Formats: sequence, structure tokens, C-alpha cells
Amino acid sequence: MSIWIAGAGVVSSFGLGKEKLFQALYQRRIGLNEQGLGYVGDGDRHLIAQELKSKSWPLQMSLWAAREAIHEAGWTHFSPRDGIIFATTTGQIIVWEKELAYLFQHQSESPPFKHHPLGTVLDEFCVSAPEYLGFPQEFTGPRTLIASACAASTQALALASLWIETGKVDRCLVGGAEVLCDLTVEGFRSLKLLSAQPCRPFDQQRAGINLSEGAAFLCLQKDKGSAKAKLLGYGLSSDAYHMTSPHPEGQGAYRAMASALAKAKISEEQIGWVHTHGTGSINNDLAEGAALKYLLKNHRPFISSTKGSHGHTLGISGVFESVISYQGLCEQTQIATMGLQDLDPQINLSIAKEHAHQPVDIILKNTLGFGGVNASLVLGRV
Amino acid sequence: MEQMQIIAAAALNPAHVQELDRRAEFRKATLNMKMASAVLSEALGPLRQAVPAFAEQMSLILATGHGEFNSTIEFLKEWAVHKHARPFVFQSSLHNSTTGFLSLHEHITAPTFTLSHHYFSGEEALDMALQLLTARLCPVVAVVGVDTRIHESFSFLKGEGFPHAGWGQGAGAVVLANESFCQQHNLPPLGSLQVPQIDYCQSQTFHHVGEQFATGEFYDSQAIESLAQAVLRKDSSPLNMAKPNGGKSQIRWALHV
Amino acid sequence: MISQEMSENKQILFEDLVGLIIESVNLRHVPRESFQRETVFGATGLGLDSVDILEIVIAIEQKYKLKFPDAEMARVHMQNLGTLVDFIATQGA
Repeated sequence: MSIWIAGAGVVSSFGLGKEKLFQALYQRRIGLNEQGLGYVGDGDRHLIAQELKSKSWPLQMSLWAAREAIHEAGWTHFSPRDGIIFATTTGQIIVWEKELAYLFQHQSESPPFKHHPLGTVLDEFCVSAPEYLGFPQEFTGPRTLIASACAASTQALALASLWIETGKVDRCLVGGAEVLCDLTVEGFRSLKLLSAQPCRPFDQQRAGINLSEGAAFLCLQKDKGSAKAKLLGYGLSSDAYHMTSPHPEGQGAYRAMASALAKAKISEEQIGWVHTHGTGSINNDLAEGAALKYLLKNHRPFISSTKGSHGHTLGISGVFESVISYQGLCEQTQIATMGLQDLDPQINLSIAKEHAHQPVDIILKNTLGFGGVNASLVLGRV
Repeated sequence: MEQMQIIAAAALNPAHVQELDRRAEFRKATLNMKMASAVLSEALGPLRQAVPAFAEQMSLILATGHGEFNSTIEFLKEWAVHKHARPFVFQSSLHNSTTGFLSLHEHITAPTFTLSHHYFSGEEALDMALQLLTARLCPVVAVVGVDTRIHESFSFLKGEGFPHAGWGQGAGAVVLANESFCQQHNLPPLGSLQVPQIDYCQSQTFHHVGEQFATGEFYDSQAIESLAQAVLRKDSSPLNMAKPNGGKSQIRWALHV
Repeated sequence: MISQEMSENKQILFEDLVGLIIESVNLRHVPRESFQRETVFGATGLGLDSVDILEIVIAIEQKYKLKFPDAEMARVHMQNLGTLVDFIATQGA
């Protein structure tokens, strides 16, 4: 059965909307500051905040991105046959951080705690979305929140696909928000994984990854409607190797990709673009590179990472970058790897340095996350 | 939807957790990880021998409301006060760390998930397991629910805005499989599970906490342990659970005879 | 006489360092006699991974008020417990 992608929406450091993001990537711009972090610009932040004054920042971004996706999909209401699956790793933690920091520094006895870490952002979304989207009904359909590190939103897309396949829902809004906060920025820094320069995936001069914030949503549905793309398959696996490093030969990543292709009934020769996880950390590059080599054998599709422009949006990277893939399918344009100059000789693949305009029907999208979670998607053109 | 069989269940035994403290492979484990390991390991016990390469076929869904929040608070405190970022603590502080630890420890290479949605985490994880089995994404799924009480030293967090601080903690595990897997490996099912029913009581996201929750042992992902306990004592009356925000859930399962 | 004194100081530092390592990455289950000057940190010694090493580096920097110049030098100084003690000793701890 086909799962149709009817709409996509995104908030990124390049601005509001998927066209802005895709155009920026096409123009080879970089959405990272001098510390290598990708914040949503002040102007855009102000614009969203004006509309959604009382909401938290992750919720504001989520609502904006969801509205873009839903408008494109032409959804005009929520019914009990619609679902929402949210994905995040940080959720509302930024609110906590401010309050905790104040508390620790001031030894306050009456902290103003009003927020719950992860689930709250989904609950608030379910309450706020109908009103914000102009839908009169309260949302009563199934909902859940996936927090499986950097594979979270890719798993969320897989689960939404399952919900539609098994008849639990007819349509599902899938996405989430990621915020830059001390926990992730200083945490990744403490693991010596951050680069202050834009990351250079698969390059021998790579110096680490960039983190960025944003929100992204996709509208999945069982009826074709006006959909321009399909989610053909997904593959999920675990490494059982290390808490924060992927299996060095990419065994888990390979199994995720292979089962995504099997689920989609697609052979590796049909892949037109491999949109890699490609974080620019040495462990990721080598593991994913080895897995891809093993999967693709002699087939040479367009292979790239787009993180050198927009950075790593952690838990939502799967949906965020699927929005880029989706736009790439719609415009029949493939985005090259920013930051790649000299390919690491250990990567035995041809990685694209220049954009292409080949006819591409099939995109393989990967995500690899902490805790050894791997998730791959096969996206197809209509 | 196909009938889904419950093939194993375990509720938390604190002595088992203490025993893990002495083992080298748990030196990095948080309390959340140890409690989750204890119940999963107990549930899997006989299955590991009965089915070859069991862990490779088994998917894992970890339901948790707070995840590794104690580690997160520890990390943020060190950072706020001393400007020290501790890699060890960061590694343990992500919601998915518990799942990652279980996958490593039990050598689970099938899909593993972390699900975190407040008081409904347990019910939604059971629902998700049924989805995975129905779609034949895997033949067997372990569902683990775990939540740790916020650390004693943060008990000042207890208050109107944060009622959880004084609440309970616990863990439970239920292993579900499809019928053909049970037949193939000659596993006698303990019972069969229906799709959990959830009323989110959407109008209240947070948190007019009823009196019964203020001093009780309630925790976010408790539904799994409650189901495990019911299975272990062979009590198949419907499990009705009231939630702190006014929501409700019902889990129905039938004893296998 | 001076070298004797140095060596005693170093022995005290060694004991102190071992305590710090045990504490920072929780090696309480490892028998005390497993910590020798020649003991390495990786798989053939204490069995620690790269995150453990980072944690130890931070604990050392904090406690002895010193700074490892960079990751490469940290690796050189952390060949084994002995080289690490020597490095800390030269930093005037």
C-alpha cells in the first residue's frame, strides 16, 4: 500500500518555509553562526513570536511548520481518524534550563516551574494546533511522542506509515521541533564532537559536527489526493555496539537501508539520490560510508550530505531532511555536499560536490542516532 | 487486528536492581537503566534458551515519562554552577540512553524505540507493539516501562508546578509475540492483549493533580508494570487507570486457557 | 635524596590519581592491584572507552588545575597510568 506525502513544512536557520531552505541550499549558503551553530534568525523569530506570543519557542516553530505542511496538503479539519506523531530530543528543555540555571545560581526556594520536559510540547501542540490552523474541532485522534535520539523523527515517519498501513488512521501529521540549548550544545562539545566551522562531511579535513534548531512536518495520508511524493518504505535497526558511536563497519546502518529497500520493493540500482545522515563526525562518516558501499556495490547514484549548510537538527533531522528530499523530488534537483573538498580516502564512494538536475524517482534518506538507533526511508516521486 | 500473545512479564524487584550494582557492566548505568535492565532480563530469562537468536528477532519499545531526567539535571547543575560539561553525564542524559543501554546489554539488533508521552507512555507503547506485530515488522516485541523518581536532592522541585518530584518510581516489562512465532517456537502464551483504550482528556495538558496522586506511587509509564503484575497473578479483569490530568485508560487482556 | 623524595611524592600523586579515576568513571569493582604504572586505559587494561577518557581528562583538569594542550597530547600523556602521573607531576601538581 502507498503512503502519500501531501505536504511539507519547515522552520530553519534560513527562514520560514521549505522554499527558503531549499533555495539557500541550492545557492550554497551556510546557515550557521561563527560558533558553527544554526539558530533561527532574529527577524523570523520575532515574526513567529508576534503571532504566537504566549507559546514556548519549540511550540511556536512547530505550529508554523505544521501550518505550512497542512496548507500544502489541503487539510481543512482534524477528524478522529487523523493522528499526530511528534519527535524531539530536547522538547521543552530550554525552558527548564533557564529556570534551573536561575535556581542553581540563586539558591531560590520557590522556583517557578511550570513545565514538563518532553511530552508537554506534544500535548500543547494538540491543544493549540486546531485553533492555530483554523480548524474548529478539538483534536481527538491518536498521538504519541518518539524520543529515540537523532533517529526519532525518522522512526516517527515509520510509525505513521504503520498507523496508516494497519488502518489505525487515514492521515498523520508527523514532525517536531529541536531547540539549541546548553544540554545539547555543551554536551556535544564535551564529547569533542562540535566544530566551530561549517562541517565537512566525508572530507579528510573534517573537524566535527554543527548543531542547529528548527521544526519540520510532513503530512502523510492513505489517499493520493494532490500528493507529489510517496513514502515507499522504511527500515529500522539497532547497533548494540556503543552508547554514542555507530558500529565501525556500519552493520546497523546497512540493515536499516537494506530493509527499507526491501519494504519498498526497490533494488539498489533504482536509487537516484542517497541523502546521507552525513554529520561530518569521523565515526559517522566511516560507518555510513562503509554501509553504503556494501549496499550499493557498483551502482553509483548521486550521494550527498546537506548538513554542511544547515547543520544537524538532531531528533527532527529525519523529517527536516526529508522535507529537503521531498523538495528535491518535486524540483528534480539534487543538492550537493557543502564543505566537501578532498574526499577521505577511506570513503570508497563517489560523493557529490556539485548539484545535479538528473531525473530522480527514488531517494534513500538515512539517519543514525545515539544509542545505536538507525533508520532509513525510501521516498519516491509521484 | 491479529491476536497478540503475551509470552512473558516481569514487575520490578528492588533486590534485583541492587544486585546489578555490583556488576562491572553496570558501572555506567543510571538507576533508570538498572531498573529497566532488571525487568527486561527477568522477562527474557527462559525465552533466551527457548528461542535461538532471540534478541536478534526482538524489537524493544521503552516507555518513559521522565527518561534520564536525573542525569539531565545533574549535567545542567554542573554546567550552571561550575561551567563543567561532563561527557559521561551527557551520554546518560538523553531520553534514548536507557534504550541504548538495554540494546547494548541484551544485544538487541532489531528496531528499538523510546516513547515518551507523560502518563500515557505505557499505553501508547503497548499500542505501538501491537502495530509492529500486526504489520509483521518483527515477530516479537519487548515493552519496558520505566521511570525514576526525581533525585532526592531535587525534592525542592516538588510543588504546584512540578508534582512529580515526590512521586513513585518503578519498572515493568511485557513481551508480546504474534501467534505464528509462539507456534513455531512452541511458546505457551500467558494471555492475549487487546489495543489499549485511551481518553487523553485533552482540555487539560497539565496538571490539576488529584489528591490520590499526591502521595501515591504513581509514575508515568506505570501501565506496563500494572499489566505485568496482572499477568503474573493471572487476573484478567480490565485494568482501568485514572491519570493525573483527568485522562483515563483501559487495558484489556484475556488469560490463555 | 631528592629523587627519593620525588618518587614518594609521585607515589602519593599516583594513589590520588587512581582514586580520582575510580571515582570519576566508577571503577569500584576493579581490584586495587589492577592499577599499576603500566596499566593502560583501553581494552587490554582498564577496559575504558573514549567517553571514559574524556571524563577522566575533565576530572584531572578540574582537580589538578591544569589543561591538556589538545586531544593528541592527551592521548600521548595517557598511554598508561605511569605516563599520566609523570605528566601531572611536571605540571606542578
